[in-house]
Amino acid sequence: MQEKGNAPATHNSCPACIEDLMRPPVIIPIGTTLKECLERMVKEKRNSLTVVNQDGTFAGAVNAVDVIREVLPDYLEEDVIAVRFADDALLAQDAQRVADHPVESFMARDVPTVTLESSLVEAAVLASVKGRGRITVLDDHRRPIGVLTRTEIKRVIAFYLGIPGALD
Amino acid sequence: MSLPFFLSSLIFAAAFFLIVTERMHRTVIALVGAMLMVVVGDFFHFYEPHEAILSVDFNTIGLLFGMMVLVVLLERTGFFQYLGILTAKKTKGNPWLLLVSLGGLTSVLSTILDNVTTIILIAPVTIIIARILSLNPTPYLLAEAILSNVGGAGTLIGDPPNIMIGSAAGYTFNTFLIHALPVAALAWVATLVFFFFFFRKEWQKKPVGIDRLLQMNEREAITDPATMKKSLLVLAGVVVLFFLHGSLHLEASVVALLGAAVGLLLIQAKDDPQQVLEKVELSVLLFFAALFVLVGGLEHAGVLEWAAQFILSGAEANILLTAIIILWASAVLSAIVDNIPLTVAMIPIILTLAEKGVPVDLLWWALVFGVGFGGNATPIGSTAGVIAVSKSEQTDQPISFLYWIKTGAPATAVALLVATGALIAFHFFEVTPTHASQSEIPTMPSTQNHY
Repeated sequence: MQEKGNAPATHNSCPACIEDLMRPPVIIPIGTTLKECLERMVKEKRNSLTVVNQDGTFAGAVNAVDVIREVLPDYLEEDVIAVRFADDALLAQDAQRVADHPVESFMARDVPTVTLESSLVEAAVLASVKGRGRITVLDDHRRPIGVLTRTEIKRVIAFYLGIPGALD
Repeated sequence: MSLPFFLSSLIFAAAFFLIVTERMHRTVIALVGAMLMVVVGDFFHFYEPHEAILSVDFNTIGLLFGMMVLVVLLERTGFFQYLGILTAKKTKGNPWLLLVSLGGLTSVLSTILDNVTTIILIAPVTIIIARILSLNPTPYLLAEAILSNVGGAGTLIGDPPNIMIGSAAGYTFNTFLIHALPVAALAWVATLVFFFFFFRKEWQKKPVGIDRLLQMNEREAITDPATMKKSLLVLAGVVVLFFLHGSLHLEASVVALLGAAVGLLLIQAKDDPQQVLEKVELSVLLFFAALFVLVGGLEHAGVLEWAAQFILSGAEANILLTAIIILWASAVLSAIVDNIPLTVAMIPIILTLAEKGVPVDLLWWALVFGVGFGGNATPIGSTAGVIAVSKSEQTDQPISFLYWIKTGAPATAVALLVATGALIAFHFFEVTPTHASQSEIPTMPSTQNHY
């Protein structure tokens, strides 16, 4: 571990690389319904899922915000004033209405991805620019092998600032 | 047929075709067409750039821009949603009264403000109210879109074609109030009667959740009471000035732009108006300007003079029949194609007839009602209709193309029958606008500067 005050390590000698930091992805196949997605999220206590094609290659990702957007009708999302008059019963109806929607209809396809050889800097930039809290790590065959979240990137930055226990 | 005649017609036809088929954005097509017309016109010496500029009706552009700014200032305050909730509560959930009230609200707002914005802002609260009452939102969305178009045909500023026609014909705000508004009001009533019978099964439904409706506090919709009051004050002043603009010899655009300037001064004098201007539909204004340039090319190439000849003999023989044909023909076309280019093309034709001594007032009103009511026949005939259908698609009862036609086509026919009766009455009772002076009798824009 680097000592405080030393120059930050390059990614070739970083104390924790992507492979060390990433978490295992929770994978669901194309065709999974919205309700099934939520069941997995609740069961796994995760806010995002990784979606794969029939052949196991990466297709996209879905997070809690994607689910919320799918449930909420556009006419509510587009009018933050009118929504003050909508009540929870309408939310329940809207959730029922979209429960069977397949994940490919609301997942994000333009999701940032990196490989094991990518640097954390690249991952950090993608997290910042793309505005998504999770970056999928792919292998050479475009199969998802891990997920890097803002938490991990935050911990590395904390480590570089000499904050004790950052990478524990 | 000369080369300029052929070339200008080709350019216009191609642009018109691309606009109505919506393969590309209409503003881009219109702009390309306009520039092509100017370049070709300059090369073949029938339409020079300064003539193209003179072809643009800046009175129309200015009026549209001014009113757009006022609407942007007002819409941020939650005023439209406030009115929607307040109106709905007064009905205590009665389905028929709800349709009449929300339809009436949308119509009244559409006589002063842009009806597209009105629909965009009223539709969400309409759907929410309908769902809370466990009612089908379809009749309400349909009624709002259709009645907003009917109401908008009643005033000078109610819809863009009226702005253009008023500017070309030299009609004031009061001219429309006297001639168009009563017809629009009668058409509105007739359309409501049609809705009463068409949706009669809906009125049998017992709404649930009335308590939830009555518990809504419409004041929660108001996000900025101070801005709302200032906006309404400015709007009231603008409306008063519209009543007087003929007597004061003020162009309608001056009134609207004055309102916009005062509104910005009162509401955000210290802030960059960019955030307001960003919401003004500059693409629409550019579309209008480009269309004027396109049609100006047709005029200078003699195409419109030629087209007017077809109508001239009919108009001289029987002006009433000609007006009725224009009414129904423009209505049918408006149901299929964008009524703006249609109006822009018809205006110079009618002006040419005026120059030849034909009393064209009846033809102007025929055009007003034809393009105003005709767009209700199909879901693509008006932007308000497109928006209503789009909002309905996220409900359990989306409005299909066929369903709209089953409702909109007969509703349009009813309104057009009222308009036909009005034209007959105008003709036989010689109800025509009087122009205060000879100089107010309209001529082609290229020969008289309206601004």
